[in-house]
Amino acid sequence: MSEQQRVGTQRFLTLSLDKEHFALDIYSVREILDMTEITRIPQTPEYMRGVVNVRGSAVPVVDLRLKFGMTAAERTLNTRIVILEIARGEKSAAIGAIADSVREVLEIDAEKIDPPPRMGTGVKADFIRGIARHDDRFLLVLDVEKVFTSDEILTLDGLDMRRDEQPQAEQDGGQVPAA
Amino acid sequence: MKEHDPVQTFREEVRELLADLEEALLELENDPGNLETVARAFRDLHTIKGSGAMFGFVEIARFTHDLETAFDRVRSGELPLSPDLLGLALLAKDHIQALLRVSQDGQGLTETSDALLERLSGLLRAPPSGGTRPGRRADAVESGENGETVRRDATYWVRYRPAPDAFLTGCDPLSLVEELAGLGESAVVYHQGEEMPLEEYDPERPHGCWDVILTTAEGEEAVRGVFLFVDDGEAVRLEKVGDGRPRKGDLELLAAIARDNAQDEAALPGLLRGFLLEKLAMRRPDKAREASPAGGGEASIRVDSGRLDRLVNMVGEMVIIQSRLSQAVNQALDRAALAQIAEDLERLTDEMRDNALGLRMLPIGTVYGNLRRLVRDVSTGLGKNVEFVAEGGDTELDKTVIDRLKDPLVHILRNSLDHGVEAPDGRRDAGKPERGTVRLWAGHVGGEVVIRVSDDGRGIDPAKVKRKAQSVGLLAPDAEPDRKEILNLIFEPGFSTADKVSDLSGRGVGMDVVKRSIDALRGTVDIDSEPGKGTALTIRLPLTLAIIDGFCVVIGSGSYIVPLTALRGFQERPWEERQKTVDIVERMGRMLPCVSLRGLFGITEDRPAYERVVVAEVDGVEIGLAVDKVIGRQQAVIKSLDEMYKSVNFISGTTINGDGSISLILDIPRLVEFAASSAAAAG
Repeated sequence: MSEQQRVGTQRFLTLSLDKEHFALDIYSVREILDMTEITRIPQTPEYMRGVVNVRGSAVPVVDLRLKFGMTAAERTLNTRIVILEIARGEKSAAIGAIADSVREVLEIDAEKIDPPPRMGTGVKADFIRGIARHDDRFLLVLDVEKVFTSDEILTLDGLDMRRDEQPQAEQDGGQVPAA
Repeated sequence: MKEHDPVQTFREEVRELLADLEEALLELENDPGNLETVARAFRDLHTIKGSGAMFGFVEIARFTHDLETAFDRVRSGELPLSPDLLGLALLAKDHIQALLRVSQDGQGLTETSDALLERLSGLLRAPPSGGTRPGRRADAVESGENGETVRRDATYWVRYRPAPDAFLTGCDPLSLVEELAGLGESAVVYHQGEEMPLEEYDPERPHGCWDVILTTAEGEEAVRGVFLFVDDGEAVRLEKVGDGRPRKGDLELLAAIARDNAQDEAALPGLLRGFLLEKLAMRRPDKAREASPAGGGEASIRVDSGRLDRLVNMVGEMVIIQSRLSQAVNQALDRAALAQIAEDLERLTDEMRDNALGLRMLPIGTVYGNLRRLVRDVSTGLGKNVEFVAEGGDTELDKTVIDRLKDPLVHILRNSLDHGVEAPDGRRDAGKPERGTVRLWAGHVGGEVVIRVSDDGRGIDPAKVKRKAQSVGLLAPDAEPDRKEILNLIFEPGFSTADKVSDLSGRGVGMDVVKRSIDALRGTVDIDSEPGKGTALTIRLPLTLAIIDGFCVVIGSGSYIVPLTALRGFQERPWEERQKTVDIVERMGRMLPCVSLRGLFGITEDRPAYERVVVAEVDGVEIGLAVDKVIGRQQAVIKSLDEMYKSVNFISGTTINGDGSISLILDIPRLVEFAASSAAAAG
């Protein structure tokens, strides 16, 4: 994804987490929901908050703050769930992301997006596609596919709980850096 | 669009015909004298040839023609039905199937066709009564393309304006129109004549005229023939407006065009032609060719029309209930009236659900034909004499389940034939009849579908399995598993007892694949075997993948569904400080292990003073599951859990409750497995 040539302006949805501002490619955003009741699935990492009912289907929800290693936040009036459409092989899947607030839709010139710095963003560099400036602020452009891959979830999960699945988890763990 | 593609429909139909043909051929193998079955095979071939030519599959038409001729001669007693011919016919059936997948002119496969036809003509030439000339094949090509199948569909527009004296000459215009309409698919429009003052109106003279849009294969002459005695050159106008066979719906649309443009007689044929051309162009076969050849037709399903009718009726009923409901809301009726509506709606929803699920149900017998063929081919290849008995073919299963069951069944049967059933002399030495039996049985048992494959072969030697498992490290050297545990080891990845790797099975990838596919269908597979006597594999599957009956239980703030099939009873236990995750409860004088789901799931919310214990049964063993509250019975429409959660295998899905919240559906056997492993991990 990040290797692809990106030209012209692109539209992004910006959201805030803690003090940082993030941008998501608008094409991956399906809808934005108010915070609602989330059903937790047992034996999953803390940042996998559970599933919500989006018009009759159970959509998994990821808490981006926890995913990025920030502290958990209280729910406020501004808390939103952004429902994203993620390509998964041939099909696509809906995944929700919890953000402290959703701000605006922006157009950013592709040339103004710089490659991500290796450190200093507070977020794992793999998750960041680039960094852009807007209104004297830095915007971290998220690589949606990478943030929400199920591979990564599998490796984090199950390692401590299931002895019998350990070989498989190790295998997956070996694949991630290689990919 | 794609669903209505005629070529796609043709492919599906031929696939069905081929399956029927194969079944007939296999039956003939056991009972070669059955003329009725010969006729059935002939009919299948005939239809395949005819519709193949109609849809432009010239290679299929050409190839099938000779085979059809052969069966026609068998039918009339001219040709004996030799095993050679049957074997060739089976090969030919496979070849037609292959032709169906490639382009319509059979590109790349014509050489195979010729080779098979060569063999066939050899067989046909053999008996002296045949009298076949070497030049036959060339004729076949011709007649396949231009012979009797030349009757191509075409669509005509016919305007019939009865002559003013028609009634006086004893002609009945209406019966003529009906005769015309009877020639094929048609749509009829009657145009009222011009309005005229009543005093001028003569009831003994016809005033209106008819437009008939007719699709027929009879040809223009036949259409004209209807009006042979009334056509004075002016009464009838006939124009061909298109080739091919439009849908009935298209004919209605054409009729509507004719109705709207009745006055413009000169322009009408052009209008119709243009419309039809457009319609047919939209349904060009290119679409079908674009679709991947293997995936063709898999997404569609043939439905029993009775079920469809019932569904439509129910939808009608639902519309009525809906309007009753709106009315009740508008008039702010009393609760009793609303309750009545809710009750009616509930009953209707239940019925609709059952019916809608029924639409997806297919008898498992639809795959029996393929399997029978497989057993025949494999056993012949292995030089074994095997009788295949398939029972319970009318057992209905979800179509997706049947589709995904095919491969595992093929695997199991191959295993049975390869490793189970012995070669004839081996069987004789063992004192068994030379002909082995492989039995496939399907049926409903409880809330599940059970499929059993059994053979009377050499069975599985537990000692051998144990040694093998220890040697590949699947089993600790000092482990003392019981017989069942040992046998179930063959489902472990990388296990195979065959000393020699054959091209069929024995690569050690078979049974674990079977187990995984069955697991994916939320089913279980079990094996039992007695050395020297035989082996039986039992697959248990849930009736449907869409809806289950369950009991809703609550732990903390979350609600969970326990499938009813696993449920055995309820009791309660007082909550104790320092409760262990796995404990013991007493039930009717017996001690049961009891898992605190609260502990297992790591739920820390307030707990009630008394916990309820749900008693479930897994593999004949009862186990208690402690929860906070039991709510009651609930029908759960299963929504699968996102694959992000595939590591959480003890939750088989989710369901949306009436208030929009989500309940998690528990997979009890896996839950128990998980509890056991985490208890072991905790030491």
